[in-house]
Amino acid sequence: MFKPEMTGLFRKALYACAGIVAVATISPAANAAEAKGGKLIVGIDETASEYWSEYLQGVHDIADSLGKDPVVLTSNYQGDQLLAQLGATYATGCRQCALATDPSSNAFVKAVVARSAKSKVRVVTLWNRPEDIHPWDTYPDYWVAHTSFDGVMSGYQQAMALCKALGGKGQIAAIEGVPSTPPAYQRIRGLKKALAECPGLKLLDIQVGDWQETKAQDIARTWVAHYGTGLQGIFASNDAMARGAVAALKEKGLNGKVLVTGSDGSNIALEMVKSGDMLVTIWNDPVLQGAISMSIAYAAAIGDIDPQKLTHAQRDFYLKEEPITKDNVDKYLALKKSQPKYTYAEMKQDFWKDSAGQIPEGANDNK
Amino acid sequence: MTPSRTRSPASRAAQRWSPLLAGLRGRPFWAQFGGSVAALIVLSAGFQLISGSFLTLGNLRSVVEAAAVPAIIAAGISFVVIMGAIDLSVEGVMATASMVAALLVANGVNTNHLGVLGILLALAVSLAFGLANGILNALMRMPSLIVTLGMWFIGLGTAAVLFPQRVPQIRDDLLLGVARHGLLGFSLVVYVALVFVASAQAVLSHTTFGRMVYAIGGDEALLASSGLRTRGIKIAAFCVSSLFAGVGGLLLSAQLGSGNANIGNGHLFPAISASVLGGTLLTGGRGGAVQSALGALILEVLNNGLIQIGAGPYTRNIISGAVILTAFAASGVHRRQLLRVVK
Amino acid sequence: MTQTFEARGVAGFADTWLPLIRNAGPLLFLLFLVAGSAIIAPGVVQFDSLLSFLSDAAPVIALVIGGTFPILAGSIDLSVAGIASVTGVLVVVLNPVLGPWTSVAVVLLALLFGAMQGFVHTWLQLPSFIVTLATLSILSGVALLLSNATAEPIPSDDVLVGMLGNALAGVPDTAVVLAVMVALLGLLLRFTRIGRDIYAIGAGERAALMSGVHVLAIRTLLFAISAGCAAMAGLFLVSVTSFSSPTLAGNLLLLSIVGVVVGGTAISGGVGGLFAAVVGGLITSWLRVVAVIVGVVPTAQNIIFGVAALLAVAVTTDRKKLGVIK
Repeated sequence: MFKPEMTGLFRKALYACAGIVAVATISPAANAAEAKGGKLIVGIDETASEYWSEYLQGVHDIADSLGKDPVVLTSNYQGDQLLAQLGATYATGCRQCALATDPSSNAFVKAVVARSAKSKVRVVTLWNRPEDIHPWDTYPDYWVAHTSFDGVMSGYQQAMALCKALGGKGQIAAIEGVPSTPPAYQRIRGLKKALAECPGLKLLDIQVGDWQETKAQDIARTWVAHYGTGLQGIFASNDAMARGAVAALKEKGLNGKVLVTGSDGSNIALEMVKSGDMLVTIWNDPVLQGAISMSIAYAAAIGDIDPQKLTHAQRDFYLKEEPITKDNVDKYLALKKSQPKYTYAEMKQDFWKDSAGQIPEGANDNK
Repeated sequence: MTPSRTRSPASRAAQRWSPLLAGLRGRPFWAQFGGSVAALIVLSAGFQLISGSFLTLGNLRSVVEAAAVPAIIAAGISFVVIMGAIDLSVEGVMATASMVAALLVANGVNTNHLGVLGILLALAVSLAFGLANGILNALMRMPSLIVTLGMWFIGLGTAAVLFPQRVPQIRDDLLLGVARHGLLGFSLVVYVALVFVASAQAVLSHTTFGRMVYAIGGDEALLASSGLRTRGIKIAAFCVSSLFAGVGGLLLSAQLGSGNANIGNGHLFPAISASVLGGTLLTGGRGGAVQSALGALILEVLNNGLIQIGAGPYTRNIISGAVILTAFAASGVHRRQLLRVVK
Repeated sequence: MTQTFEARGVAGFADTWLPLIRNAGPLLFLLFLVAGSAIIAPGVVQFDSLLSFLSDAAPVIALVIGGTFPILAGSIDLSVAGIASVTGVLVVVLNPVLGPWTSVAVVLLALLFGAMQGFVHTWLQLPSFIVTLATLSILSGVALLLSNATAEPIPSDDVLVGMLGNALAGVPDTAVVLAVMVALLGLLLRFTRIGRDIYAIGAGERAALMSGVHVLAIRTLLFAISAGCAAMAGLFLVSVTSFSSPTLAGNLLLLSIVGVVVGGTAISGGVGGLFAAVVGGLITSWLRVVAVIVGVVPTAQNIIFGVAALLAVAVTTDRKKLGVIK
C-alpha cells in the first residue's frame, strides 16, 4: 500500500525545499555593523499592504541615514504575536534600542510598553492607545510618545465633502473599519459630527467592512440593490474599502455617479480621485509617519531628547492630514512619485514640525 | 498484501459502490435538494417579510453575483470534504493566485502583459498548491488538516513576498472583462461559476474519479484493504480544490480590478460551512458540488438579508451563527434515534 | 495492513509507557529547535528570556491542552479563541455585578458553555466542526456587542487575574497555574475510567458505545474541559495585557491546532495526550518567534512558519500507528 522509499524521497525533497526557502530569505544585512545607539525595531501589522510598505519606507529612510538596518516585526494584526516577537528580539540583549510600533490593538498597548520598559527599550506607539493611559503616566521614561492621525477630523472632512457635493441634501451609507480600533470609531464619530452640521444629509446604514476591499464590495453591492437611486454617497472609512465600493458601483456603471469617499491617501485612491470615481480621500502620509515615529524613539534611546522634559503635546499628538479632491490631487500624485528621502539629522531639527496638536481627551473613547 | 487482480481496481470500486450511487443518482430532485431549497425559501420569505425589499429583481441579482465566487470555492472544496478530509489552504491559494495573475497580466506596477498566459500561469500555481497538499497527505501520510493549514500560511506568505509595495491594478481587458461584461443582467462571473459547478458535479457523478472520491469518503479502510489505489485520487481531489480556489481568487481580482494579498480573507470557513450545509441538508449526508453551491447561496442570502433588514454589524455574526446551527439541527432531527457516529 | 488496524485499536492505551516512547520525537524536535536558535542567538536561552518566553507561550499551551481533549475523541473544537476573547470581555463587564471573584465565575461559565456545546454536538448528532464554527461566529458577535468593540482595563480588584500577573520565586504564576492544570488533567487521563473511556471513543466510537461507554457524558465533559482551558488562556492573556478586547485571542485557534498536531496527537483521535500537548504548545510558540531569531525578512515570515510547521509534523508524528489518514 505504502512504499517507504517513496516517502523517504519526498521527505528529503521537503527538507531540501525548506532549506532553500530558509537560506533565500535570510536577510543578508541582518547583522550589519551598527552606528551609535542600539537596534532600530519596527512593528507593523502586515507587509502586503501599500500603507505599511510606505510606512516601512519612512523607517528605512531614517535607518539608512544612520547606517543601520531596522529589525522588522510583523504581527499579522495579533498583539500576542507582536509580544512574543518582541520577547525574542529583546532576549538577545538590547542596549539603547528604539521601537516604533503599532501595538495592533488597544488591548496590547500597555503590555508592549511594559515589556519594552523592562528591557529598557524606548517606544513610540502608533494608532492604538486606550483612552485611560498616556506616555506620561505609564512607564514615562520608556514610552516616549504616541502618534496618530485625527480620525474624527478625517471622518468629518469626508462627510462635509459629501454634504457640499450633494448640495446639502442627500442619502448616504457608511462602511466602518475593524470596530475595536480607534481610527474606525473615530472616523464614524467624525461622520456623525458632520451630519449634525449638515441636517439634509441622511445616513441610511452603517456596516462593518473590517478595512477590507472585498467585504466593502459585498456591502456596497447589497446597498445598490436595496436603495437603488436613493443612495447618493458611500462613506468608506479607508481607501481599501472605498476601492471595494467603487468596484461594486462599476458593476452597475454607477461609478462617479454615486459619490465615494475614503481616507489614507493611497496611490490608487489618488488615481480614483483624479478619474472622478472617488470624491475625496484624506492624506495621511505613512512615509512621514514612519520617519517621525522612528526618529523620536531613536532620539530618546541615544539621549537626544529626554522624555521627562517633553510636554504632553509633544508626547501624544496627531500628525497633519489634508483632504485631497480633484483640485489638489496632482500635487499629491507628484509627491507619491518622488517621495522626499528623510534623514535623522533633518528630523532632529524639529521632531514636531508636522504635528497637528495634542490628541484631545476622550478621542480614544468609544462611547 | 497484494491481492490478485482480475479486474481493474476502479471498476471493482464502482461495482462495490454502485448500489449506493444508483440510490444517490436515482433519488428524486426533492430528496437531494429539498432541504437546501426549503432553507432558501424560508430565509427569503423571512427577510422579505421584515425588510420588504429582499425579493426584488435587483436584490436577487446582487445575491447571485455575490454568491458566484463562494459557490465555486465551495464546489471545489467539496471534493476534499466528501473524501472526509479537509482543505484549509484555500485563502492562501486565492491570495497567491491573485498576486501572480495581477503581476503577470497588464498591470499598473510592471511592464508584463502576458494576457491569457498570465492567467494560466496563476492557475498553474494554484494547481501546484493542490499538488503539494495531495502529495503531503496521500504520499507522506500527513493529516490533511495540518498539511493544508501549513499551506495556508505558505500561500499568504508567497503573496506577501510577491506584493510589489503598491497595489497592482489590473489592466488586462480579458480578465477585467469577465467582471465588467454581462449577459441577461448577470455578469460573466456568474456564468463562469455555473460552468465550474456543473462540471464539478458532472465529474463527481459520472466519472470513475468522482465515484472513487465518494468511495474514499465512504470507507477508506475497506477500500484500501481491498487493494485499491487511492493515492492518485486523493491528490487529484486536492488539485481540484486548489484550482477552484485559484479561479475564485482570479474572479475576485477581476471584480476588484486589482491584485490583493488579502483577497481570500474570510472565504475559508463559509466555503466549508457551505459544503457541509449543502451536504447535510441532503438527507443522507453525502453532498456534491451542486449541494455545496446551494449552501454558498444560502449563506449569501443570509449575509444579504441581514444587511437588508438592518441587523447591527455586531449582531450579524450572532444571528448567522445561530441560523446555521438551527439549520443543521433541524435537518438532523430525524436521525437522532439512529446509532450514528458523529465526529 | 492488519497490523496497522490492531495498533489503532483498544490495545493502544493499555500500555502506559508506549505513549511516552511515541512522544520522544516531538520532544527531540523541540530540543533541536531551541538548541539551533541558541547557536544563532545565545541570548534566547538565558533564564530570564526563557521565563518571558514561557509567559508568552502560556495562552497557546493552555489552548493546545484544551484542544487536545476533543481531538483525542476524534472531534474538534474551533470555538476556543472565541471563548478566550469573550472571557476577557466578561471579566470586565461582569465585575460590577460579581466583584473580585468575577474571573472564577467566568471560567465556570465557560465550562458550562463548553458542556453545552459538547451536549448539542453529540445529542443532536451534528459534526463538532460545524457546531463550534457556528458558536465561534456567535461568540465573536457577543464579544463585540458586550464590549461595544472597546478595549477596557481589567479591574484591579480581580483576584485570579491579579494573581496570574505575579510571580512565584521568579517563575511567572501563569506557568505555575499551567503546571497545576496539566497535573490535574494528566491524572484524569491516566488514572481514571474517564481517561480510558476518552481513548476508547477516539480509537473506535462504535466499539466504545457497545462496550458501555457513556459517549454523551464523555463528549460533554471533553468540550467542557476544552472551553475551560480556553477561558484560562483568556485569563493568561489579560493578565499580560491588563486590557480586555473583543479580538484579544485573534488567530490563536490556528496556532493551537498546529500545536496539537505537532505534539503528536492524532487528529483522527485515540492517540496522544497531555505530554504531547505541552510539547506541541512549546514547539508552536517557538516556531512563531524562530523567524525573528534567525532574522528572516519580514515578508517571508508566514512562509517560514508554514514550512516549519509542515516539517515539524513530518518529523514528529508517528504515522505507522494510523490506518487511514484524512
